[in-house]
Amino acid sequence: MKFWLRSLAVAALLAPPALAKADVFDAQTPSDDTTATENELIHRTEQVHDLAAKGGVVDADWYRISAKGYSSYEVVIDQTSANVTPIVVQRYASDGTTLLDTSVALSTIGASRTLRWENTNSTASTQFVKITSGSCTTTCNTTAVYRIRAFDTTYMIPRFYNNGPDVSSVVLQNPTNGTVTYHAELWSDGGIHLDTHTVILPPRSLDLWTISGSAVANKTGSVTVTATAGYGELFGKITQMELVSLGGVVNEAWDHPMLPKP
Amino acid sequence: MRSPLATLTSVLVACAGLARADVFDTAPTNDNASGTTKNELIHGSDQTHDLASIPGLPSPTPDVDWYRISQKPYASYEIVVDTASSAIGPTLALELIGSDGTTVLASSAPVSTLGFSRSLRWHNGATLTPPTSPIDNQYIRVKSGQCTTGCTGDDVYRIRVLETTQFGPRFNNVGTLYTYYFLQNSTDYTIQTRVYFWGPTGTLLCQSPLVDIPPRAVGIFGDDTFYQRWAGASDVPLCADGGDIEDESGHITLVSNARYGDLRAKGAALDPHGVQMEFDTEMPTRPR
Repeated sequence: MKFWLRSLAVAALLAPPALAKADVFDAQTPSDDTTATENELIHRTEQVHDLAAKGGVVDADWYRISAKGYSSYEVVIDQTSANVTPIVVQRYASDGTTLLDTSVALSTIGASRTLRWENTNSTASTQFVKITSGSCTTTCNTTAVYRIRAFDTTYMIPRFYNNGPDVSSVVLQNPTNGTVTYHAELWSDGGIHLDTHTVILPPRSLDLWTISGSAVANKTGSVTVTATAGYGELFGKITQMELVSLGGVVNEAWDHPMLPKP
Repeated sequence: MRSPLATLTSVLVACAGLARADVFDTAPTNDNASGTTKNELIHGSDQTHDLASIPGLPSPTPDVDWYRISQKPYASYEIVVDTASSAIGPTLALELIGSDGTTVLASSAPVSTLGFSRSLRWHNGATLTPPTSPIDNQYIRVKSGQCTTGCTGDDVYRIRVLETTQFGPRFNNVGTLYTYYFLQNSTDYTIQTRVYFWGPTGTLLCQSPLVDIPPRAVGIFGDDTFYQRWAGASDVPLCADGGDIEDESGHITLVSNARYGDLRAKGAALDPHGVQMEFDTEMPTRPR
């Protein structure tokens, strides 16, 4: 029963997104108007809200997000009505006052915005995302709407193998128009962090590197990749090759695609 | 603190009426003209709108919904309209409009013979001198094919946007290696493709010719040839622009007029005369 109630609520919130209705997150206690918000963004969160002013007071929508260690994230705002454009999207630290970064436009049109970041630390960090209108502010009504989506943009590669005659090479494609910073984190089979590979990738470029160095010598494990790219914008794989065997040349290779969370 | 049930009730009550105003029509600056719309479509956009006519004298005006869209260079796109109410289709008009706000650059096709759902697809690789910067001044236009001035708030549709560009992170034709890619058209319509080959630092090495892959056929390319093994076609040189990817390595992007996910593509790099290994590379689209 709970499942169906929840499903009904989600369906009612999401469809039809461009049609006017009250934003229930403004009417709740606590509302989403301050850092007391209990509206949590997780991977694949998708919500539609309005920025209707209340009694001449600007509406601000606050969200909490837990950025896990060695992970990266994207928050996308689109479906913005004209009266909120250019919408203001900001990320704040856990104190709710320290501004960490501000969104950028997805194009020169400027209406849709993206906020992307990496948490390269080992521990999770609870942060806030704040949305406010860039134009109507105190005169916004319920037609002042936007859609917010959140993505975990961390990629996974399930295998590298640097033991015996095997070596593993990583290829990572940045087909976008923008420069992307990425961190490849190498993990042992037992989940121990072994090493980090950091690269700044120019537009339409490729990074090809062989996993090597004392930290990963004779090690096997997996790789996670965080980046400042949008969700699903990067592509890549690991090729594991067995170059020499007991009998001489060995002709085996295994490809492990780099995939984002679905 | 409101109970979850109370919150749910509020939500359901708020959504109970099906005929609500489309806020993009009622906002101070609306989406009714190319010059006023600020509704930007991006990969993954998913919106529902109505085409309720706009009251006026001597007669109402048909509602037309305009959207802006940014097209990246070397990219392809699909706009899908479905969930269309019976009064607005077929044939609902879904079009790509030029920067002048009037020139129709591309029109949608029905997804099936039913004709209610429409798909608008295009790529910006029509010529060998494609745009190298984003195109941000074109529009998507949606209008009813039936009710026009008689449309009400019940006359709704859903619009989604998907980038259909495909990405192959590796080809390697250096030394004893060479790479084949296989492009499977599993559909019942012809898919047009063009492939771009990039060096490791982002230099455009080669542009394939435009290749029309018939239904159920497979297009194959290696390091110098695009194989077209279907009736009426013959193999052609891989690089239509005078480029060359023999003894080169890098990555690939592919544009097409396929529906999102309709063209399956996979590469295999072979080294029969060297280490005798094979390397597989998928060529997926961006996830939704």
